Amino acid sequence: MFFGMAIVYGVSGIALNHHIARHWNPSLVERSEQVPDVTPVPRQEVTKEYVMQILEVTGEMDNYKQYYFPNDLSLMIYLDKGHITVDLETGETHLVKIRNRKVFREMNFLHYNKPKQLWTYFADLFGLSMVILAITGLFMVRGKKGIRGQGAVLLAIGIIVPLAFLLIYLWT
Amino acid sequence: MKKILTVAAVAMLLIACNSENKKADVQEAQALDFATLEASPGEFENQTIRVSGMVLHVCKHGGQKMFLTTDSTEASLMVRVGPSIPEFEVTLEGSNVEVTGKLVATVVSSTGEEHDGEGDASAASSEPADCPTEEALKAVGEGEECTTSVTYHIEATSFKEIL
Repeated sequence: MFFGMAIVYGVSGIALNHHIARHWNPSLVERSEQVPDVTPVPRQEVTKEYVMQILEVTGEMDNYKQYYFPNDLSLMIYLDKGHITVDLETGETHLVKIRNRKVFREMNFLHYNKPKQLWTYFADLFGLSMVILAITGLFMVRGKKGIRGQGAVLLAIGIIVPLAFLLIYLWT
Repeated sequence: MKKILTVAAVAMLLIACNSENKKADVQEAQALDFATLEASPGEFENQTIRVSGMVLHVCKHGGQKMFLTTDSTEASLMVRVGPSIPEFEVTLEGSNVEVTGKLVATVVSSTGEEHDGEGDASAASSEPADCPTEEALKAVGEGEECTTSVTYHIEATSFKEIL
């Protein structure tokens, strides 16, 4: 019953580990490219025509939303799924395109409990089932490989390793 | 099979009830323009309000916050997702939206410590510090300079893109 849940939490767990480690954003793909510089102008001289010229050069005319000045020296042109930033002092222009990362986005959406409401209880049920699986799993194998033999060593490793990380990174 | 269908029907009912609540919130909300809210946010604290603006930025690490602004101001207002909103899509950046939700105050001390346990609120519009916390009042009493400030954000119950 929980096959899908185990895959969702397992795969997105790995993805989120690396997200927290700042290796990547598992939900979004963001590509930035430098496009030909535009003529630098002061903020006061930026007009709709100036913005349209930039959109034409970058081939983003159809994706235009609106523009905004984050500060006196830069211009941000918002696009559907991206934006263009212009340094008004130098004319340096960057085009940033953003899209959702397929599959990972959906998995992370569930892992982060973004649906909230009913999903919370279904995910709780899955969590509880993992606890039951862990406890009953201790007694599944009997004999030398069971909890009274090799299994005890594996169990100890499984407990000591997280404790060691806590000791190194949190408790000292 | 009947049991599964019954559970599904109850789930749909719960979801439907929730969307009714959202509609009620939108109707009850007080419509404000950005300037009014920026001038005296304290007047609307804990009230359900409706405000429009351009989405300046959506936090890309989870989509749980976005920032609104308008042409008439350099301030921005932070909006957080409420329980009924899963996330703000990053594609909202540059769009005009109308947000309905509760205006929530956060007290931030000079060390950046927040007193309501919330996350980053530094970019929310703020009003001059009025030292509402006991710690701040005590500090003033002891001759220390008051260094707390209040920032505001909206906890959104609903939002929609507008033209």
